[in-house]
Amino acid sequence: MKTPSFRQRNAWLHTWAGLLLGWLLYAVFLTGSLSYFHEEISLWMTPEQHGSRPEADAPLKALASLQRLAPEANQWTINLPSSRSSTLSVQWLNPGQAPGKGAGQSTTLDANSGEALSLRDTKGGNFLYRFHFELTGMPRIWGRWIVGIAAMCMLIALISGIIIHKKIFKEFFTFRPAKEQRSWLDAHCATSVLALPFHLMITYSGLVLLMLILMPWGVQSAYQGNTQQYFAESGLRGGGPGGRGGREGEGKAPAPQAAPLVDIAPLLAQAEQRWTRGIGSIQISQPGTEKAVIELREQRGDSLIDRAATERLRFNGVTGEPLKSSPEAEINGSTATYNVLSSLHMLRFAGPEVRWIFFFSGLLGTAMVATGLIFWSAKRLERDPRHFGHRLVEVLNVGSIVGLPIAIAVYFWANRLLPVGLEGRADVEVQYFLIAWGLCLLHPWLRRYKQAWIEQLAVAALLFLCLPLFNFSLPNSHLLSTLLHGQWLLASTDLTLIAFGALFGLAAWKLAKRRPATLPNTQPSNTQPQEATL
Amino acid sequence: MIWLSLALCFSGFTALCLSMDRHHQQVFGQKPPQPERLIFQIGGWLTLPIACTPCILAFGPSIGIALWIAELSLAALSVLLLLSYRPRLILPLALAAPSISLPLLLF
Amino acid sequence: MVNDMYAHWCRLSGRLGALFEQRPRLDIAARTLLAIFGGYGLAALTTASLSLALPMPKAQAVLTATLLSFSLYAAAVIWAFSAASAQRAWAVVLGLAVLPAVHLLLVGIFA
Repeated sequence: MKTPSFRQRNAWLHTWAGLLLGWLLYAVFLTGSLSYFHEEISLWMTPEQHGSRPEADAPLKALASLQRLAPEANQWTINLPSSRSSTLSVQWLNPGQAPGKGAGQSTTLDANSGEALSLRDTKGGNFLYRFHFELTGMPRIWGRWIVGIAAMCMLIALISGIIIHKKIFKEFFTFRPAKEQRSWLDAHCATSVLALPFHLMITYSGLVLLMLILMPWGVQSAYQGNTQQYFAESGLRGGGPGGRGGREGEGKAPAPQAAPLVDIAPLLAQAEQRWTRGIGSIQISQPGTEKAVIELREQRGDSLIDRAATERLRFNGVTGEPLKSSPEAEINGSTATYNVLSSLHMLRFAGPEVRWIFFFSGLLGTAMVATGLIFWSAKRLERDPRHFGHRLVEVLNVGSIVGLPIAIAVYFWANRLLPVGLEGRADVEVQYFLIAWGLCLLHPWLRRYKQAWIEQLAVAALLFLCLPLFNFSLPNSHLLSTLLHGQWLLASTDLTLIAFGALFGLAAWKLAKRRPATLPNTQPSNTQPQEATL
Repeated sequence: MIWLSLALCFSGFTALCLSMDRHHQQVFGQKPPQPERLIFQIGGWLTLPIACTPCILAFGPSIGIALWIAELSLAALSVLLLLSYRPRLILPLALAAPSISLPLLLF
Repeated sequence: MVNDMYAHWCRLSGRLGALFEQRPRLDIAARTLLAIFGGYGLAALTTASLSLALPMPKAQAVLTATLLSFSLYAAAVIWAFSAASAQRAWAVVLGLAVLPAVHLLLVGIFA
């Protein structure tokens, strides 16, 4: 038997690396792309917040509310409305509570009235974000391992794909529609090559973000497993908002004298003038006492190297005099590399324009995985449609490529339809997601596969298109209201739902029109690759 | 700024694309003569990095470069789709796009 | 002595080569095992070793070694499948793993 060539071997590797966990990679890419907007999705999923339309005096309203809600607190933190949120998020630490992630109490305030909002219990966009790297329904560490292994397969698929793509430059712009398998292959090559830097960066940075789980051996050997010390020395967990103010004056024996808080409005004005992006948050430690300190932080940083470094202005809380700011931690070589990689992957501090563009790139990656799976399936099913392995892949294809979007739509519907007071509501929403996905994976076994594609695409279209329609039953959430008030966060979510619904509908219609004799046009849209040729 | 950068990426990729025999034929029905091919290649390779400048100006170097790389994908995809479905539009769009996006800078 | 070992290796390699030609599935199995476990082992050993050996502050060394480990793993996987023969693939990976393994033994990690 002739030994396979270098290219053939890598072709085999590419196929298997992509095929074994392809449906999982599709899920990771899709939920990952959506995660760039997880705050916006959470906002959409809590209609109680939709009436809040912030004006310039929002910070003052928040202060007034905090005076009412937590007059004895050691520290107040106010997160101001931004390009990603339209409400005020306040936290406070009562005496005796230590600062830290999630410490103290918090609530969301309406930006117009300053009243606390009672939000429905939901995981919101955070569920999709967490699913993206630790899946659901299993211990977190298993989920992260599984996603980590999938990410490694992705990296191998990318590298082997580059090796076997002979004409990577010549065929850079090549796409031949309406040519059956060739078109799917062209679509797969296009979506891979055109966004190759993004795919490589996203995959590698994904692995890096999970590195302490996947490759802890460095910390094991150099620190004997003492990760806390490693974090302290490498400065990786150093920066970031929150939890620092409580140090002021704590532990000193005499309780500080009461003193009125200085009028914050001129300080805010000063900061607004200095920062083009505006103020991101206000933190006041020991409010109402002589030791009060007001710290203002700028909205989002603009360097990938300093993960969260934004400028801070600090003022004496009684006199309003500016105080010196603490110096930022030094960043060196590998820490900077890590910061850049993790910032590029998560885009925690990026603005909407960057998010949208990365979202589209992520969708290209999703399309890359899907077109690859469909191409493989198309080729094999033509040869031998009854082979169990081929059938399994086809079922997984439909059930994931269209099934996962259906599950997400059902998750959104559950959010809208489940009674607000329901016990454990957030978990029930997730259960609906899982049940829907499970049904979508079962359904193709019972149908001939073209039927399965058409039916699921039609269901997806229906579910997505009707969601914005349902919003008309909520006073502040529907498109007319949001467009009228310029609430772009909400409006764009609804419009995106409509766009996806329309794409699924178009795919279902095109597929239904075709007769099997001549396999039809495959228009790989640059957003969702749901159309099938067969 | 983003639109200007996207437009320049698009124009740059169109130029590179038209410098290739097969695609020039798709649009104009003939292979590109030598001087034209050179102009397209040089023009394309110059325009692409220039497109990075508005991004850097608007967002600073690190995010600017990341954004530019992502924009390259979108622009290339647009060229690819236009080639397959509306090849005649490619050249006029590539020429017009930067000028159309300039007024957007004012907003 | 070295000549003898080399001769043994050549014979073994030849026999394995014939076996793999007859049963390509064994060849693939051998390469896959190498890719999954051998590659990870190599990456893990190298990371642990470099974290101690790199001439920079400890935390930086750990970070650098770990950041690079994924590239090493990926390279090992590609090599496992691209090498001309399965036994050569194994030999190279095992050979590369010897240095960090010895280093770690000497440092007493396994003690």
